[in-house]
Amino acid sequence: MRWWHVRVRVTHEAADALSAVLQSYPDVQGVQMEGVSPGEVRPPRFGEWFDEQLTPTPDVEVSVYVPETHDRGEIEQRVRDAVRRVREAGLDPGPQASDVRVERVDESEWKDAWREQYHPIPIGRSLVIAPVWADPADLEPYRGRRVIAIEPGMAFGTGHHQTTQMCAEILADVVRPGMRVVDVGTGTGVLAIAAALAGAERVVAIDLDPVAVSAAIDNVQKNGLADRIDVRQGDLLNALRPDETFHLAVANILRDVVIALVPQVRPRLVDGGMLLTSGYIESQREQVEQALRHHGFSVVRRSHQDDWVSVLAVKR
Amino acid sequence: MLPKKVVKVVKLQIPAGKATPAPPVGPALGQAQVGNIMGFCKEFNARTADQVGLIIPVVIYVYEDRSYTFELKTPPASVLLKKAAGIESGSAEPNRVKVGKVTRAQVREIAEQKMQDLNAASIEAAMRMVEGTARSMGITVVD
Repeated sequence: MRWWHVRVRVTHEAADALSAVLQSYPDVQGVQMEGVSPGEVRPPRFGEWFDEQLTPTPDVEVSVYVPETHDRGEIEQRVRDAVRRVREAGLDPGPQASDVRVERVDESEWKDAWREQYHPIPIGRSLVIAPVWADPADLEPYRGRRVIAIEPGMAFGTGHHQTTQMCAEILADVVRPGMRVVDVGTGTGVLAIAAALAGAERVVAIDLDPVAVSAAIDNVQKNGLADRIDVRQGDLLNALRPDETFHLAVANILRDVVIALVPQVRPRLVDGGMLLTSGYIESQREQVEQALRHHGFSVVRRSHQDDWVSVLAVKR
Repeated sequence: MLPKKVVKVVKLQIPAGKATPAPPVGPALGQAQVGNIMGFCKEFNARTADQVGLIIPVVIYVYEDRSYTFELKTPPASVLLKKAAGIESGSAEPNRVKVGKVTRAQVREIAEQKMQDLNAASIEAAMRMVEGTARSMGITVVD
């Protein structure tokens, strides 16, 4: 996908107002601001220090991205209108504000930027998550472990995240051969693959995002598990057939989504079935556990990495 | 732990709970050579889960080894102004069509709340910036 990258330099005084006007336009998902103000709050933790290039700047570059389907001239006009509105409101946007820069950018420019930093990640004692392009030499230190090969692409679940690592480790511990598993919010499919490698006979992997669904299908095929993992697009559990039940459900998403899932997933689990949830932080854990207790689950295991939590619960 | 060198500061204003690798997050972090864009989105979304519906400014500090930390700020003045005026969105023609009112006391309150982020020398200067933002949205400031 291609985008128009639109940039304009304004004074610190006008930056906040300008970004508010730009944010109100359709198809603008957010604003980036580049520039350091003299009174800028320093970083949060003790011991950090700044490079010389981070000294205060006289102005701020405000930039937005608009899908390429919009007309370039119309976008330039919109930004000029926004600058005019800010000026008319009594704020000085500065001398450079009339210079609106628009250039076309392609998603590939940032999509692949991180590939070179992606290395195999050992999970627990039995797994390693590796990019599909990993060199066999990179995997040598992990000989004997089962490999989850992932093409990270633009979907969640690269193996770098603490919650992915905790969930994969728990799955490796608790999934037994013959189990049926559902992975809600599968992203790249990494946890569905971990469950299948741990012996699950059948895994249904669901995601709402079509980008994730195609990434998951691709990864499942690359791992040779297409006969056991069924990837579907759907909202939470609405892609399941009425008669489908599972021994384990896993959802590594966000607190509110997990809480919404709890009552829905209960009737889908066999007696004694397990629900593994993650994607929230310690301060949010009690809310999730409350929902679990309320809907007839008992918490049997908690994992922590940094501030992140994974909770395994069993249907009473 | 050795002090880590910050090589880039990335500032974004994005909707709470809804960060994705699409622009502006993807290109902003990509240009800063932060590898783990997805990790940032996940963490941002988890930490802003209580504020869905608001725009949240976030400052990302990128270190020499391309790891990062980030700091969430209070919502922009425009968001606080909309709340104070009780309106959903600003005016498309702020000069002609006024969509709401805020009092000078409310402006002061917002200026105080945003003082740190606005880089204003005094509370009066911060109030002037907040008032300007209000006018650019078609919100009238009354005494």
